[in-house]
Amino acid sequence: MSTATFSRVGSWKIAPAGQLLAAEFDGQTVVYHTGAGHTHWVSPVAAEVLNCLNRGIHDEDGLYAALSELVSEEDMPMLAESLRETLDHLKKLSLIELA
Amino acid sequence: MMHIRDLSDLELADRLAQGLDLQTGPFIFHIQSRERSVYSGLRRLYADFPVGEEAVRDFHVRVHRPANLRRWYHPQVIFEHDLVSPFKPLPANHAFAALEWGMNWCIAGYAHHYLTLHAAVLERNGRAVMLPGEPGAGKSTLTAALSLSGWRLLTDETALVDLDTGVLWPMARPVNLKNSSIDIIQAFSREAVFGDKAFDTHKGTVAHLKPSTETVLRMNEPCRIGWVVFPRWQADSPARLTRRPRADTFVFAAENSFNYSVMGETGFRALEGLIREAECFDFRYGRLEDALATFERLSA
Repeated sequence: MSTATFSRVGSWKIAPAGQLLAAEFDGQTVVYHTGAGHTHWVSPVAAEVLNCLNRGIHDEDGLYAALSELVSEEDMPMLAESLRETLDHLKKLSLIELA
Repeated sequence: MMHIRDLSDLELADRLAQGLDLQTGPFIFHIQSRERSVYSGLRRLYADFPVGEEAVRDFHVRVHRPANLRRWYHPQVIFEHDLVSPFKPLPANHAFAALEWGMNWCIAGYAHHYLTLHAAVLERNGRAVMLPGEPGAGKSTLTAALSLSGWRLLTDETALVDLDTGVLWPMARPVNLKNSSIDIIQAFSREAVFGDKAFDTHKGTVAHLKPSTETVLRMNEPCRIGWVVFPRWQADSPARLTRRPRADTFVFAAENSFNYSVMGETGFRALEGLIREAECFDFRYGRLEDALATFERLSA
C-alpha cells in the first residue's frame, strides 16, 4: 500500500432521502438514487467511492486507503486529486453529502 | 373473432359512431368518432385487427368536432381521453393522425404496468432488436423498411417491457412516417400500404404504414431482447455497426423512457435486466439496402 497522504479530512454519506441502486455493465457502473430520481453513468473511482460509503467507510482517509488498494503504483500520485474531484462531483449530483 | 375487415362500411361507421373496441397488443381501445379520416384510416390500416364487445377497456378515446363555429369554418377536431382533451384542436383532416398520437399519449401516460421506452422494436428469428434514437435519426424509416423485409414489427414508437419477465410486448400498430420518409418507403416496396397523408401537421406531412397481417396475427406473442441499435442515417455513409457501452445505452434509455422516473427501483431493475441481455451498437448507414443486409447478418 502507498504511504501517500490525503490532506482533506471529512466524512461523507449517501444522500439520505432515498436509496442508491447500482448496476455494473462490462466494468462500467450506472447508479440511480431513488430520492433524486436521476440516473448517472459514473466513473470507476466514483463507483468505488459509492461502494465504500455503502459498506460503511465514510471518512476521507478511509476512502483514500480503500481506493489505494485498487489502483496501480503509477496511478497513486493522481489518486488524491481524483478522489477530491470525485467527491465534489458526486455531491453536485446530490448522490452524497457531508456526514 | 371479428376483425375490422369483416365489417361492412355501414357496420364500421355505425360501430365507430357508437364506440368500437379495438385490440392492439395488450390494450383495448374504445374508439368513438364520426370523422371520415378516422373511418378510412381504420378501414385501411387496421383491417386485420380484432374488434369485439369487450367487458374491460383500457382507454376510452374520442375524436370529434367541437360544438362551436369551427364545426363549419376551417373545421377542427379534438382528441379526448376519458372526456379530457390533452391536445389543442387540430384541423379536421388530421383526425386520424390525432387518433394515433392520442393513442400513443394514452399508453405513454398510463401503461405503468410496463416499463415504456421511446423506441421501435422488431423481431427476427425469435430475438428482438430495439431501435431508440433521437428525432431525425432515421429510426422510423429503418423500422418501416425492416417491417417490409421479413422482420416482425412490435412497435414503431413505444417499447413495452414486461416488469416480471423482461420480455417485450407487441402492439403491432401502424408505423408513423414523416416527410421524405414517406416517399422513400413508397419507392422501397410495392407492398407498402399507406393511409392518407396529413399535410402541415406540427411534424410536417405524416402518413401511416399498414402493419403486415403476420405482425397483427402475432400481436399477443412477446419476444426477448437481442440487440439495442441506435441508428443514424448519414448521406453516403457505409453501413457500419460499432459497439456501444451498455452503461451509456442504459442512461439513454432511461432518459428516453416515458415512465422510468416514476417507477423507482422497479424501473431501474427492469431496465437493468433488459440491457444486460442485449448487445448494444451504434449504427450508421446511408442506403437502406446496406442497412437491411447488416441487420440480416445480425439476426442470422
